[in-house]
Amino acid sequence: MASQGSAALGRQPIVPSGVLGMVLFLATEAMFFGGLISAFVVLRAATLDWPPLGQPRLPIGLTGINTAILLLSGYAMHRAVVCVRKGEAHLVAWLSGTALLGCVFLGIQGYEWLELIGFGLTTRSSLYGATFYTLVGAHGLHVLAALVVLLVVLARGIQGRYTAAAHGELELCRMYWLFVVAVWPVLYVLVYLR
Amino acid sequence: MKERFATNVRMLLGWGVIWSILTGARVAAACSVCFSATDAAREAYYSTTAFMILLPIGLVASIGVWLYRASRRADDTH
Repeated sequence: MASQGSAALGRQPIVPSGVLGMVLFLATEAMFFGGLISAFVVLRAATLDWPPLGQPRLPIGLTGINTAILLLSGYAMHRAVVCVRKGEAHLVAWLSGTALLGCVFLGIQGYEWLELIGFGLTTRSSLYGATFYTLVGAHGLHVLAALVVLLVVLARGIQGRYTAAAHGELELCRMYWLFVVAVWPVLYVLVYLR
Repeated sequence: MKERFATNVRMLLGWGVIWSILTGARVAAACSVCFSATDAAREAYYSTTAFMILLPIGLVASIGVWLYRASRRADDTH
């Protein structure tokens, strides 16, 4: 719509419609996580014992490694886009690396959840468990959604659909992936380290 | 006859809404941080309220500045 209007005026759109749409979508996502984080901070401040007695402690070391893995996937995603912008090879390799690191992140998180459930931390065991699974679970679902989108983009990359001049989908995928990567360290510090 | 019936139904609904507001007001008037009297809870409540007010304003302002700069860049190149 915007681009049609600009085209009618004989001008290029200043920002591609897809990019503007993704920016607005990410703004709503930021509000979503902002609300969850605010609720967590208020509930936690209102509780004297955090974590409550009898509840397991969160695995800081393993999640720290997992954080590094997710940050590395963000770098791989960035490199994939740089490759296609410059018309270099290795796009599929960088995208595959990103997807692999994303899978490893989700795998480790799934393992961590199974262990914590085994130790008695569930959504009903305490407010501590409820806020933990809500915050970390919401982020995990976002990573899963980003991974599905990434796999679609990877399949198209393998088909050779992206060129230096036309790779809009890849740029949008990168924006979403980097958002998901950027949110995680905030959650890690708030939920695990504080 | 029909009009009078409809008026009565509307009045009944209106009084029902007023009654529910008056009786439910006690729940609405509850303090959002009364579950904890600690200073930390109050500070967290105020700081997160400020955060949730400033976040959308900051986002909209950032998008506005970004579009403005993109527009200026486009004008410079033409």
